[in-house]
Amino acid sequence: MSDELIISGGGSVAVATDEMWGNVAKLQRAAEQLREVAAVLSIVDARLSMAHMEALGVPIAGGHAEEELHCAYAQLTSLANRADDVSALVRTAATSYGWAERFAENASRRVAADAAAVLGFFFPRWVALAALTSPALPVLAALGLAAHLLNSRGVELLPPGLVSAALNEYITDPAFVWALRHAVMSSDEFAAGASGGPPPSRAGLRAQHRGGAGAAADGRADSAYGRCRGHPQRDARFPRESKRILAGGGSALLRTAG
Amino acid sequence: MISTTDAHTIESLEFQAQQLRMLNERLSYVSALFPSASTQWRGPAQQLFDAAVHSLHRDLAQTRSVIDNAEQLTSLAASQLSSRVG
Repeated sequence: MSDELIISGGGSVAVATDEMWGNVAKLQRAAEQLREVAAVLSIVDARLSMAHMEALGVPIAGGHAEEELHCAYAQLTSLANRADDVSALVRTAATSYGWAERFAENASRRVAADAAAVLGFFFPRWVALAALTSPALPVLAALGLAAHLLNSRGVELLPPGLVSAALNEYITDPAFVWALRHAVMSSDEFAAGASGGPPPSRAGLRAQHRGGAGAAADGRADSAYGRCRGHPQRDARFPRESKRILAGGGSALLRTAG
Repeated sequence: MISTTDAHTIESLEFQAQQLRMLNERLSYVSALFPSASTQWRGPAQQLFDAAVHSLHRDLAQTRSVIDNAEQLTSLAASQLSSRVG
């Protein structure tokens, strides 16, 4: 479980879960040890009861020791129960934390895949529209060309330390890493959308990502179903072609067959 | 001269004191089993966990102190009994 969380959570979550499970084990062992100590204490206490000591004329210090032993036994029993309770709570927290982590991971993956598929589906029109309408593109191109020319002549536009500091800040930012990871994982959905596949085909790609022959087969089936449902004109193609052939008197059919 | 009964009682008290010393050493091992305050995770759950663990450490130290006191009282009773002239 920890390895899985290291991949999905960037490290901190995995360490926390490992620590929680380690604490669960430690607390359980501590509770067992406390119960064993309490049992031995009870046996030691039973060897010399208060009545027995009174009968033997044991000094009063022995009676006080007996009271202390009763107190220690009660405290040990209470400690064992509390250690068990804390262990159970941490175990519940670690388990539910894992569930929440997986739920959030799946949900964010689903949202990212849907967004990538829709963005990919509209990508060509969107790029063409941006290129034609945005005045910033020629300016950016000119700036890039100027930077390239200056850099090739040995002129440093930015101090190297500034660039590396900015890069480090991005790389160590969990939100940036999360976004980058989802962008990479959703590249298939984006490519499918950009190649003209309708957004519903993303379900098939997601199923293939999950792995397994059954999942892949389901994915292909979903993808095919998505194509049929997304392009009703393909369903109408056969009747149109039939009409054309039939309008030609059916000779094409006869020639092909001959 | 110590009577036979007193000698037997002293032996029982000394055995009890020895057992209590051993139990206290064992509790020292149990204390090491209790987790320390968490540094790797954050949030209200971590604060509650730290408070619970702190309370366990504190109460176990108190219990060890009680057992230590009982051991000293037992040893005192044994020494008082052995000094008693029969």
